[in-house]
Amino acid sequence: MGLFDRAVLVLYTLSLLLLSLAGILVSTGWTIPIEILSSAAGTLDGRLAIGLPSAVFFIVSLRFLYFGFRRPRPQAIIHNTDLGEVRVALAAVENLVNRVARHVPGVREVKPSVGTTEGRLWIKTQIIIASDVGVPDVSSRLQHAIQAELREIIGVEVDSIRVAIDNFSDESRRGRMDQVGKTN
Amino acid sequence: MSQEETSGQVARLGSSVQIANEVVGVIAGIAASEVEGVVSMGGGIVDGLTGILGKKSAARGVKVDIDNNTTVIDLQLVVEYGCRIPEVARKVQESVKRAVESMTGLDIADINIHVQGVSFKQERIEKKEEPRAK
Repeated sequence: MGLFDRAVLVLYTLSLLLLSLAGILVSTGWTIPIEILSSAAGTLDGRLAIGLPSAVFFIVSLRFLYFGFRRPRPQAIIHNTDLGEVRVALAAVENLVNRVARHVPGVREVKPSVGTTEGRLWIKTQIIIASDVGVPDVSSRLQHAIQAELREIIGVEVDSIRVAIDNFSDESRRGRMDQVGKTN
Repeated sequence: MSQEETSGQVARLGSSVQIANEVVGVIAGIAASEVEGVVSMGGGIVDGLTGILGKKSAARGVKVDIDNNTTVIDLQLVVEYGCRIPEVARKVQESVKRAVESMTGLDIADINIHVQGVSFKQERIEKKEEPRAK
């Protein structure tokens, strides 16, 4: 769901909230909304004022119904062989990337996301690294490790590997402090 | 669903033998799970639910479509970490084709492999055993 649809969903939900509130108040004896509706139904402008928002609501509802019932095509890397298709789920690729990244020295935590654009595989990793390692060094090692692992295991070349450093971990410093404390 | 839609037909000397899709699925499932590098079959939501309910079948993770004597088999599998996926997939395709064609006589048009995940179980077991060995 894109940004536009999310904005529409917010407006849709707010409108429903107000309508349901009005419905609850009408049920307790508040008759003004009914009087406004019945007087508006008598004039052309009034009928338009009721009909147009209703039509918009109808279209938006159909759109959300479509979103609800649409079956998302599972994303995968596809190899075609003479015996059939081999599809590797992107979830499996993400799992592999996660494992590779955790084994790169200096990487403490990793949040990978994997996708394809026009059949090309891209990877984004958000990582937390140790404070005593160089960012270019860790990033480069991580990119090479992911590229090599996916080439070896899945037999696919990655189009782009983006590395975002989210934070530095003070775990290594703490570990050293603990060691110093123990030796003293 | 009619019988024709859920089974493959093999004609011999004027008579015919109907083979249910479930039977083809079981043969394919067993052949695939015996390939080295295949950890388990299935991995989809439905398979997960049937697994929880305790309904296990050799045809788990296998979908068989037979249309006008053209058989297409879809297999969902989880591969062991460290194995090359294209190689495992190739072996599964060959093994399933050989098993189904030799046992049923059906012609297989396509065997599609859906790798749902990579299992690190073996690696974990090895890591657990390492400290003991030392």
